Amino acid sequence: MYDRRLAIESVAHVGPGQFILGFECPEIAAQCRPGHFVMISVAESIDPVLRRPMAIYRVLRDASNTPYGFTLLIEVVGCGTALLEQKSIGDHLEVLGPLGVPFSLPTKDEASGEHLLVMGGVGSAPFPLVAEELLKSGHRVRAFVGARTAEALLCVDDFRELGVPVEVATDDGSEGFHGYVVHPLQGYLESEDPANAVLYACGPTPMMRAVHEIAIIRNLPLQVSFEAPMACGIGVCLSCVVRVDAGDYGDWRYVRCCREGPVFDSRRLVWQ
Amino acid sequence: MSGKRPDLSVRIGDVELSNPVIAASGTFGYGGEFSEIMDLSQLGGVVVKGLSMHVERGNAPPRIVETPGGMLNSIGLQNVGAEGFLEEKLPFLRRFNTAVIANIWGRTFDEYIAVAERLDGAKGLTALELNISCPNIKEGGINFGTDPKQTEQVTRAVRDASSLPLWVKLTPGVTDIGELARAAEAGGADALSVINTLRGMTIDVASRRPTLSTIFGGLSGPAILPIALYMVYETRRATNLPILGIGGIEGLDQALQFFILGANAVQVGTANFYDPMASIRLVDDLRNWCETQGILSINELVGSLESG
Repeated sequence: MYDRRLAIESVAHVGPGQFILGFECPEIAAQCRPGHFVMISVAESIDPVLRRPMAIYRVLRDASNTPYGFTLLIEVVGCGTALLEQKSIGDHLEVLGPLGVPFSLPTKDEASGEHLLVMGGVGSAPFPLVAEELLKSGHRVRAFVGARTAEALLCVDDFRELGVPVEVATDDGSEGFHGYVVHPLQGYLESEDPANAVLYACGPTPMMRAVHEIAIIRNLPLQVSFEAPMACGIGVCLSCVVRVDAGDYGDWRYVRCCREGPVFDSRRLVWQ
Repeated sequence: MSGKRPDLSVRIGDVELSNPVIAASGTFGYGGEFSEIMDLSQLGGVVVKGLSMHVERGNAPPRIVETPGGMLNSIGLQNVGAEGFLEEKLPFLRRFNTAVIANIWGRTFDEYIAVAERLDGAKGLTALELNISCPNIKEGGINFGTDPKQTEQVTRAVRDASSLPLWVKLTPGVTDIGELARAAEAGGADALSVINTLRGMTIDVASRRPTLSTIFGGLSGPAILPIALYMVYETRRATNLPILGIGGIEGLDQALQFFILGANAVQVGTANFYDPMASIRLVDDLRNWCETQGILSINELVGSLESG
């Protein structure tokens, strides 16, 4: 974990209120694992005062494959992200990270079935890195990408470039399946019945809950990446708590999304 | 320039701190997380998350909301309990050359006494900070802190239950904080932490519901600085007890204002969330500032307010 003041090295607007910021920082980049996040400042003034959590999107590597930077895929959801959208190359942000528990991915030698990545909206951000890592260690990957509209779809090109088969769903039917992304996932599982499939999900909570229910019914492992309002990102403010199973008798306890998460085994969580 | 390093050490009653910068309760956990990015020994002290006798689960989310220049929180004093602190957290903190202050709270008189007794004599614990002013606990806390009689009684009860130096953390949510300061002093307080958060709330317009699950919460951050400064001013007029100034401190300028008003040390709170190196940087900045000003000891600055 490093706290660094970094200049924005690249800005790319990729969709309605969607943009990618790039940073150079070999220390942070070297530690980034798929599912990690950083806390970034949004203003030089005290309003808004808090940093925002952002998933690591891609790790940048030089010709010798050494990580030297990273990018963040951001969607405008409030005043902080709206300010970030106005940033230009050369503007500075405070960046703390990488933070949190990343996705647990199999190594080269571990046998596994197909890895199914299920995502909605800006919840897609961590998955190209997940796919990259899985492919590198020889595993099979398929992506199910959902968004409100065709133009709001994220990461589809990343997956295609990586050679990952993609199934798309949009709320308005402007591209792919007309409806929620859970349906193409369900359809795929029913028609192909892939043995030992491994599920991953990030997106709106109802979507993740639906994937969780599928994982339970089909007895498939599922990791979800959660989001919660957080002030510090390092586990001291206790704002971002989520409920997890505390063993017997349906008891539960709070754990910190930033520290014990953001990636959780979906069966550990108490789905309210 | 004499080249002599300024002396940043301060005394809070019988407690000697290597410097006057302390991490405030509820913004620093039990130190473990911050130890990954800084050397805790560089801090004057660490006030740990408010401890109760038993493990506390805390309030339902949403627990925070950002506000202009600050934030509201309603954590509900989630903590590992006195036992958990002694077994799992304090041994780690003992490794560092920094004062460890246990912030304690209870819902009843007896709970305050129980946690104070349990922590008494713990190796490596420097002082207790009595939280009688948390806005986020239904059954009490703030009531102890707004009624002078109860403030005096709970301070005395804890005073009698523990041999540790006792700091009492006051709420700004009163008409006359001086009265509460004198009540805490009468009850045996060794120092006063001024201030805790202020009660506040916001509404989510779309749902027309309070943003926080508990309706209201505690306001903190840069927005509360002028209130905190005024409260220290009033407290200093009411008592000669050492004061730990808290509220809206991000760096040097705010800290200096507290010292000039008569605070003997400062606590950095919400800034730890959005600028994790703020407290450490403040120590360096204070040292450098004293050096450039030719101030040999930080104590020269304390209470140097010019009137008129």
